[in-house]
Amino acid sequence: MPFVFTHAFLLAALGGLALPVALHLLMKRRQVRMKFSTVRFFDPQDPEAKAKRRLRNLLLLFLRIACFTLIVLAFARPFLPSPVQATRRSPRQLVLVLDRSLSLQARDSTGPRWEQVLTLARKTLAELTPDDRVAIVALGSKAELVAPFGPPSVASPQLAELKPTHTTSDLADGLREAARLTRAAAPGVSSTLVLVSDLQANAADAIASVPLPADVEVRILAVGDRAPFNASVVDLQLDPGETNRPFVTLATFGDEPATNAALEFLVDDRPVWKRPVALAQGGSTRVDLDLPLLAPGWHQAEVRLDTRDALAADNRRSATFSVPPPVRVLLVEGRPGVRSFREQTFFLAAALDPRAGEPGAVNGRFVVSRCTPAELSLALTPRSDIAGNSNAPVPPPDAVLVPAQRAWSTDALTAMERFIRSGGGAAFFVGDEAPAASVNHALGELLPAQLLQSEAAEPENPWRIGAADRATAVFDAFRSPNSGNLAVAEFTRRFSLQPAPGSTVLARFDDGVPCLVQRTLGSGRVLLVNTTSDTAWSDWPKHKTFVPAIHGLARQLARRTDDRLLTEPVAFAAGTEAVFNLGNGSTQRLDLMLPDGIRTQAPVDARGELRFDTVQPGVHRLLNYSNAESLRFAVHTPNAESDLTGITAKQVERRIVRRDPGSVEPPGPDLFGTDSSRRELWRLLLLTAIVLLLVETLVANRTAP
Amino acid sequence: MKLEIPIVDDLPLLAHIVVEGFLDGLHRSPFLGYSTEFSSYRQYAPGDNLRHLDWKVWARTDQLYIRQFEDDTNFRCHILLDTSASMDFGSGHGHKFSSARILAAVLAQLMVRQRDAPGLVLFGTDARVALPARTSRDQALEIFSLLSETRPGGPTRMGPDLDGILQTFVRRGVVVVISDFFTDETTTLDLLRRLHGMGQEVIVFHLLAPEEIDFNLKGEFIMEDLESGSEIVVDAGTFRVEFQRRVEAFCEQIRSQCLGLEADYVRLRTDEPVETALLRYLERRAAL
Repeated sequence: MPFVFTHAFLLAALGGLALPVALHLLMKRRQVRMKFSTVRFFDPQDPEAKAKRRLRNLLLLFLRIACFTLIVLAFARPFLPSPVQATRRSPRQLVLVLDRSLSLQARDSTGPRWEQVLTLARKTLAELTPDDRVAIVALGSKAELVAPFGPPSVASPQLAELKPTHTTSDLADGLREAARLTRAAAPGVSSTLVLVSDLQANAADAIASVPLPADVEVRILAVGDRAPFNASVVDLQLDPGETNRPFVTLATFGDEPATNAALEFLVDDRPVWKRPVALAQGGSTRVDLDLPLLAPGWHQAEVRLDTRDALAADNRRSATFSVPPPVRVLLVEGRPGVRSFREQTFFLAAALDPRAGEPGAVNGRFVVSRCTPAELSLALTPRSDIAGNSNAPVPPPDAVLVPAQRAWSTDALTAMERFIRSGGGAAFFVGDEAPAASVNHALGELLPAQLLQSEAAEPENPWRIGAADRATAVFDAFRSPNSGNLAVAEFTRRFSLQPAPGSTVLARFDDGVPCLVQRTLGSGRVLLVNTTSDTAWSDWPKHKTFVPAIHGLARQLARRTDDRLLTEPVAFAAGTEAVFNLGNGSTQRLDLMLPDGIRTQAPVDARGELRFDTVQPGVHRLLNYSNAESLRFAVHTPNAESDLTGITAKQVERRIVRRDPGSVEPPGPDLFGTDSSRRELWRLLLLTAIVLLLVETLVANRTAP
Repeated sequence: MKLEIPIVDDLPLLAHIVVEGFLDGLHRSPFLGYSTEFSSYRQYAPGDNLRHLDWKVWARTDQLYIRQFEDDTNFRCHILLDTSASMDFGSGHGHKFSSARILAAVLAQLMVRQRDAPGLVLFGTDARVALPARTSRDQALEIFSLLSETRPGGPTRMGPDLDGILQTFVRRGVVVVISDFFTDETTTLDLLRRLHGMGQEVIVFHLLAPEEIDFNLKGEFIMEDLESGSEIVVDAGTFRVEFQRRVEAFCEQIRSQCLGLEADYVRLRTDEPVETALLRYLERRAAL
């Protein structure tokens, strides 16, 4: 019955046997010839004693060689198949770990990878006997036991139910789960671990962190080509920042040259464009995108890469975003009927909505409407408040810009105050039409400052904007360096002001007189602009800084602090956990609609957190009870799966770390450990070596040399 | 006093220094002879000349006693030096034959200094009278010269040639035997008896090298007999105690034989200065 060594390489230490032999030869007695005066006192040497001494030396040599040999053999851990195994193969338990990461969806030169996985798995199961037991571990984003230990005939049908996922996998997770299963092996049952995988290099990095028991046989079955060509959409950025345009990043992997490819861009499932792209071999390619003007609400963009590569699943990527509703701005025109460029609101309207009135124009960030002072009361009142109006409610404006008015009706003042206190925003400009006394009398309760007296600058020394609070939305556009010089505009007329208590000066002229003053009234805001809305008192409307300043003014009034067109896109790699904080006390029922159209109840906990594991790539929607869309987000394929470069089974085997079974297994009831599937001999060898060592000590020290 | 004179050419000087130093405080001869002046009685031993038997004492006491006389002048002293190969043993200053030569030279010098007649007999494979006993002034120098030329070798034999020489010792005198006595026991005993029977006073200097006494050797040796050439394998480490016991028994046997024949027995270790041991013996002898 042949020995099998667990650590056969340690047998090389048997070369050390030369040491005791060499010592024996070196220490062997050498007879020295010596002339002596007489030999009458000597006895002829006793041949028996000489023979005994030779026997003793040979015995010592044998003992030393035997000790050394036994110790080396013990460390090499020989074992014998148990007698039961010798006569009849004992039952075996096998853990079949199937890698079903996204890369297993690839198609190689030999066919679909997953088909190869199933073929190898079925072939492995076919080699088992009915007495054997097999467990199947499916390895996706985590290791999942899909079939506990059972007869092969029971486990085999489970294979048909398995499909590759869209997630990454870590082979270490599969080995860890398999090691856990083998630890529960019955006595005398040998364990085998079979890993079927495409052995992606990045999936095998952590294998060494999972030590496997030394007595578990490991078989690695590899599928797929080692480095096939694959192209992938690895990034889709729709909101890359103010200085960059939206773009998509394409990458190629593998040794084969890139083939012709076409890239298609879709928004809300409607094609925007499709054009060929040149892919850089083994690198990345960036393609800029342009988003069309979109209506407020949730949208989704998608890019599709059309090319011949190994893995098609990573050739498309989606991103979702939300277009915020525009700011509704009401302009009060005090000079109706004059030519448009003489209107008080001409520059304001041009700054806020330059394409207003054009046919086919799409709303931008602002929706501008106009009214006369007489219509102001009606314009500020929601339509549903009007008796007899059966139309859908028309929301009031978010902000009202009011140039200088000669007179104010009581209704208009009342509506304005009610509008502001209820959360609206209004900005009042000054001008020749409204003397200080008149303004103070009519709007004194609303304005953030009292007008004192009109001032005129010297023609050669006009006033300029000296200081501006760039932390506010009004001047947010000028926060970055070289983003605009507010001091370019020249102001020739103004009022001296007396800011009201609690008001804030947002900008001052270069001599310190307030230029822009703000106050809060109720839930709304009121701004006083110490100049005209046209070019009567300044040339500011003719300068470039006027447009972003008016945009900021409208957002300040409407409390829109963010000027971004889109909400920040939310995207997750498949297999990761998506977490959304919906706010404390969010108790309303929400449904999650998956990309395949299946609608399930969203798992929202008591703290208002929505957590779930993403599985499918594509667009996910969160709907409330009225089917209104609360959130839309995208799940994309993990980039790590796009690189299909694999390693060999030998390389994986070399990374596998073995664990000493003695450290985890309970000791056997006898020296051979009969509760194990094999008969270990190292204990016996070590014990024999110790006994021989004691005998050698006795022989060496208790007998005459 | 320790004299370090290892080379033979210095024998005259060494002998002169030792003897003169010894005689400075000495007024009597350390040697007793058989002249007319009665000295003492001693018990009869087989081989004694019946002429010296005191019949009167025998008549009175029924005991046999030999009369001894002090020979205070011109007595003969024969030095019998063993030149066998076994004497060619010992390392450095412990070489036995070198020590024996020094011993013989000192004795010869002492004799000549006292106007006595020293003679030298060499015995080894064969025996020969190297120099007959004479009172010549040059006798010492001739002995020194002969000692310098003599080399040890061959087995120890005390055969007819030695017997013939002994027959020439017609006058009573002193015979000094310098040997390791590594020969047949009966041969040694016969020699001593014969000398004793011839009326010679015998002084035995038994020389042994330190290796022969201590046997401080370790390991296995093939010992080759210097005289016979026979070989024997010896495990020195294990045999040392037994060897020492056997050597001691051998020396004791020689000593007892000497005492039985009224011979003086002096055992000398050759790693000790021979002249020192000799002077110690002579002083003791002179004090008697």
